[in-house]
Amino acid sequence: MRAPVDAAIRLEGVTKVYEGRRALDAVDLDVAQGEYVAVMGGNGAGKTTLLRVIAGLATPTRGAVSIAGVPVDRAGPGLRSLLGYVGHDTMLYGDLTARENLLFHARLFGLPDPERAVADAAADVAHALDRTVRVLSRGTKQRVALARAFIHQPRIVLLDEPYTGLDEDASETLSTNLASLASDGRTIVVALHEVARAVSGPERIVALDRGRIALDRSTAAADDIESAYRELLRTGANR
Amino acid sequence: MRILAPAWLIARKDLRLELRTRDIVTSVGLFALLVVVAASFAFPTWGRGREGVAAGVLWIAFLFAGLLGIGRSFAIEKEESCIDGLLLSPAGPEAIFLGKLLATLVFTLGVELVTLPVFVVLLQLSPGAGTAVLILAALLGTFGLATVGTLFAAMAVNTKTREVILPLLVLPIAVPLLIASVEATAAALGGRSLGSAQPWLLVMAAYDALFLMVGLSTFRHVTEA
Repeated sequence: MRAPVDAAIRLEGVTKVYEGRRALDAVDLDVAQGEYVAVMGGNGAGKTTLLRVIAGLATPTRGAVSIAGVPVDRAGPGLRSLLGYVGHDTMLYGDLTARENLLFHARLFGLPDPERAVADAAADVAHALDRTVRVLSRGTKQRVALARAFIHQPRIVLLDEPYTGLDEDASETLSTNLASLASDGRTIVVALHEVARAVSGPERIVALDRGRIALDRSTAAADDIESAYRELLRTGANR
Repeated sequence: MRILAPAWLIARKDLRLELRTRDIVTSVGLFALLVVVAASFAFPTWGRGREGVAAGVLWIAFLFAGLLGIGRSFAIEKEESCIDGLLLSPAGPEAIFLGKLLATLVFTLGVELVTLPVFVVLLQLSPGAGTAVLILAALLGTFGLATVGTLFAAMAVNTKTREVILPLLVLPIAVPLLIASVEATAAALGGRSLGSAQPWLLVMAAYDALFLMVGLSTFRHVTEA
């Protein structure tokens, strides 16, 4: 486990209990500024809870979470502006157009030129901007959701299975965008299902099993990671 | 300013959604109209004390219409986890509370603007000198209901039976406001002047101020998961 001094994200002994079940169990995790981390794990391993706790959308039952040294539960507007988050749901209003949704968020973030920010963030879905979100395909909705999360150019990006619903081209574009964000020094934590994707972009993989960190390694040795992760899933399934 | 600007953005977004779908105004407006029309047939339009009965019916209509509207307004935020998008923005919980409150207030007052004249005509009431008191009572009472409703709707939205839970949470807390609203409205419908309704109006203003403060200071905890 790394322990960088300039941790962008720090979790100390974080436990989250939902209806008697431990979604996270005494998790300690440091993510350095500019690090690109993949969070892996089977269904119910705690990936979503981990991201929600980091984003401040779920309050830990025990333990502490801090972003850039500031406890998340005391996050002010400045700290919230650092975060970009994509969850399982799109966080888009179905009866507004994609443009209206993005403009609304751009204005909420106090961006100086909201129209320009929308055009930049949603360049790859420009054709769908004036359509009501409810009628968009799952993939296009996901691309608008990603544009919403990136519109204010966050320093810390939290993505929960962002490839869901995307076709091959859009997935490729997202991978390229994430690589570009990482090279730009942004901190990225992305929850993924496919180990192949986790070893192709991120520099570190953290695997959860029943709410605990079961694997935390650099992705430099991709083969080693893949076999270790598959072994983890296999033993988890057998328990 | 840090709160007001994002609150206005949130309220404007809700109003834009409503203008597009007319979900809330249609259902809530129809409900309120049905109640007052039914009441006009059920209750006598003459005799002493009819103002008290009329005021009670009116506030029952406003209360349940308001709760329907508030519940729907938060259901929209629950759909696709839009509330998370708001909570992740720099707006802050206080601005979200104010924004939702403002939108609810506009919807409910809009419905009352249609319902109230219909009600006065159907029940053959003549507020006369009490018109100003009637308007003031409607404004203060609606503000209080919207404030308490917004606060509790944020709690109820994460429950499976939110439509049932919301009135159960709001009704006991809203009793003092409802009593004052009915008394002030009865005085207004009886054509009495501001002086006779003043104590009730002051109770309503104090209730509104108290729950506005409670809402602003506790909304952060209400939205925690």
